Amino acid sequence: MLAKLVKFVILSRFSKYLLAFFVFFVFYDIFTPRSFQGTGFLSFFGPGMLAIVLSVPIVAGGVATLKSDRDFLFLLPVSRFHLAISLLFAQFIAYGLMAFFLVGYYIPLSGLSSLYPLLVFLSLGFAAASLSSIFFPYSLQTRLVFSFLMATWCLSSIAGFKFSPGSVFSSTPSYGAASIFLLVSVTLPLALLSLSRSELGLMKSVVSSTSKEAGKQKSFEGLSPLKAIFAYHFSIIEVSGRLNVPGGAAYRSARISIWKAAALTSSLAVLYFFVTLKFNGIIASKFNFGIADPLVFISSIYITISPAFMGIVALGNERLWLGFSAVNPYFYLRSLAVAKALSLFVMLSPFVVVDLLLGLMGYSSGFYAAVAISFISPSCLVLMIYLYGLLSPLQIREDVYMPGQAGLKQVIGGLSVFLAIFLTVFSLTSIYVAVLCSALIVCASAYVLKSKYVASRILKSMVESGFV
Amino acid sequence: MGTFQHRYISVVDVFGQRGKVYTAIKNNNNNTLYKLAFNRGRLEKEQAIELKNVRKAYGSVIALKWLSFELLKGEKAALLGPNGSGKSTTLKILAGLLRPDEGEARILGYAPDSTEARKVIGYLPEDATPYRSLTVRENLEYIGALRGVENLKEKVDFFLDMLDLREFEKAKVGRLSRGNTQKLAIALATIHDPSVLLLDEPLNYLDIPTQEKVISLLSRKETTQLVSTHIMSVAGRLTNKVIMISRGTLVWQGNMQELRNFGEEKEPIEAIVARMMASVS
Repeated sequence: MLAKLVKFVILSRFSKYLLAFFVFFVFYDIFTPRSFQGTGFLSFFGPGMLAIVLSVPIVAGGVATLKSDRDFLFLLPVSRFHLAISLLFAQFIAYGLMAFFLVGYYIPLSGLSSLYPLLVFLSLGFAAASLSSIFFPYSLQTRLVFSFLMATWCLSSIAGFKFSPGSVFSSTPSYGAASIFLLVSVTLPLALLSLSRSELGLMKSVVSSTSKEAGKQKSFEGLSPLKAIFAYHFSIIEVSGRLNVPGGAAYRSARISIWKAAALTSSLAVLYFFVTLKFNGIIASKFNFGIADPLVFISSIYITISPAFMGIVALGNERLWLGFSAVNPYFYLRSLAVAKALSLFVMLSPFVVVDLLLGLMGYSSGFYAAVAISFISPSCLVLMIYLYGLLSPLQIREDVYMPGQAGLKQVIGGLSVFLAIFLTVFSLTSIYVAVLCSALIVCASAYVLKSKYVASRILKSMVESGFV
Repeated sequence: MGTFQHRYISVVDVFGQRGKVYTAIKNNNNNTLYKLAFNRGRLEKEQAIELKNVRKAYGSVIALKWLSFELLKGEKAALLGPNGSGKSTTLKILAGLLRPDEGEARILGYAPDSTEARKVIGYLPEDATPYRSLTVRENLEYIGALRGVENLKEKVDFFLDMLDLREFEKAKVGRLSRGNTQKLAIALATIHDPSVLLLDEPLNYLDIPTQEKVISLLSRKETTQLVSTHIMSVAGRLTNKVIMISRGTLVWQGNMQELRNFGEEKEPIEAIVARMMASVS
């Protein structure tokens, strides 16, 4: 019965293509032989990505529960414990996929023996899945605090702390593996306990915890259509949708003023400035990166990922019978994409300023990074909005659980973030390359913005996806 | 001109009004099927909604098979049909969201996806979802601004009061009940005073007092209305004409009384409709 339930829960959430993709990656990552020295770029990149893998589920939270579960599955006379295990497996695929997407390939690099990579991966996936279930009922503030603590723990391996999950990417990987095993041994029972208690009450708590009154009302009165579109999409950052975790997130409809977001990124940029000044030289000399300004390099990579997060949900709240029908749909799509790109630029501009300052202070990569962030990130956002629109736009329909089914097209859409990463990495080699890459990506985004053919394909895709 | 269904045409009426000459083509029950206006000898189109030999398929599934019908300006018709009969597809084509594979659709003589048509169309899809991140008032103001509605504040206040949404004006849509969401959706579809309204199950989720308010709101509007519904009482209250489709083809069109005449005395109208639809399948 348990096996049948697990199979049903998984197949009702994930497409077979996605599962095949998942299995392929697991085997490819685990069984591809590599060698690793325990130093260099990976000792930074690995813990950083692990921090994302383990802290995002805490913030995003969510149980891979569909509305049909509430209507039917929860009402079936099945064991609560079996149901909890089934849901946890679904969570494992949802978050495990993210884990593998970001760090899976590098786990065997750490020199762990044959069975260890598989065990580490399984533990990592279940830890992430468990954390999302455990922290789901808590307030956003609590989740942010724990998420920060988890990220700090993962990153502490960079500072030489051995008992950290990030240590799997250090010269002492067994400590990292032990940390991950310890983490999962605590979180897994807690998650099963939490899930076995999840019933309709959990659903209600989600509804009440989201979509409250807007703090400050926006006024669109007296605005032209273009100004109205910008007043909406340029001034508000919508933190909405499935929070980009395939298969297992809850709908959130929080909205943040762009100026508040810019204040937050300004604080981070100031932090980045002082950390770079203090530690860049030390890190560059201690680790064999082969690049002059490792912290500028790493921060640029992280910043480059931001378009993917905004691009996936950019059309999620849109409906064709509203904005797209009120004005020319091509004009609406174009204006929306430009407004979102500009809002991303405003949010990232503190980093541009800091990178320019660093450039003036002798960190030459700062100039290249400033160019890359200014042009590549916003342009990539435009391209990603259009790409997700073409492939398989994510739609936010329900105000409660909407994990949906992450299809292969959505995964392919997610892979496009590597284009942004690639261009940024390439740009950091010289100012000429940075300008060339920026020019190319700006031209590509300008083309899609101008193309009525592409826009008409997106509209067709949206109609077929039920965006009416 | 639409495709005439000759078996229904029995009377051709010609009459003059304010310098124009009108020709009404009626069926054998004396109901006007087509009205043509001639001004100084030239044909003036009076059809608000025209669907001519429209075919639409989704892959191997054919949704509409050479569907044709017309609505004159000011007419209010119910689009009836069983599940999967093509009602929503018909509305989407008329709203300019889908293009027919073959055939032609026109709204006041314009292609449905043209700018001119968009200005005059008000479309309410089934289970309509407004912008969830915006509040009720923000939704109304945003769509009003996009549509260039004059006196927007007054319009917004009118809908908030008319549909009892005032207490939720600062609430984000995600917080609303399905009924209040539907009220907001109706307001969004009609805020620009469209001359052609395409409504898909407009009274879904509404309580009875609100249904009455919406019926009164829609009845007052001098618009052409095509209302897709399963509920005959809704069709009877909102419209005076019936267009019945099944499996993507036209089954019958006429007025409510004609429809009743097909049945026995005291036979529920739903039973008559069910019988007519079954005869096609």
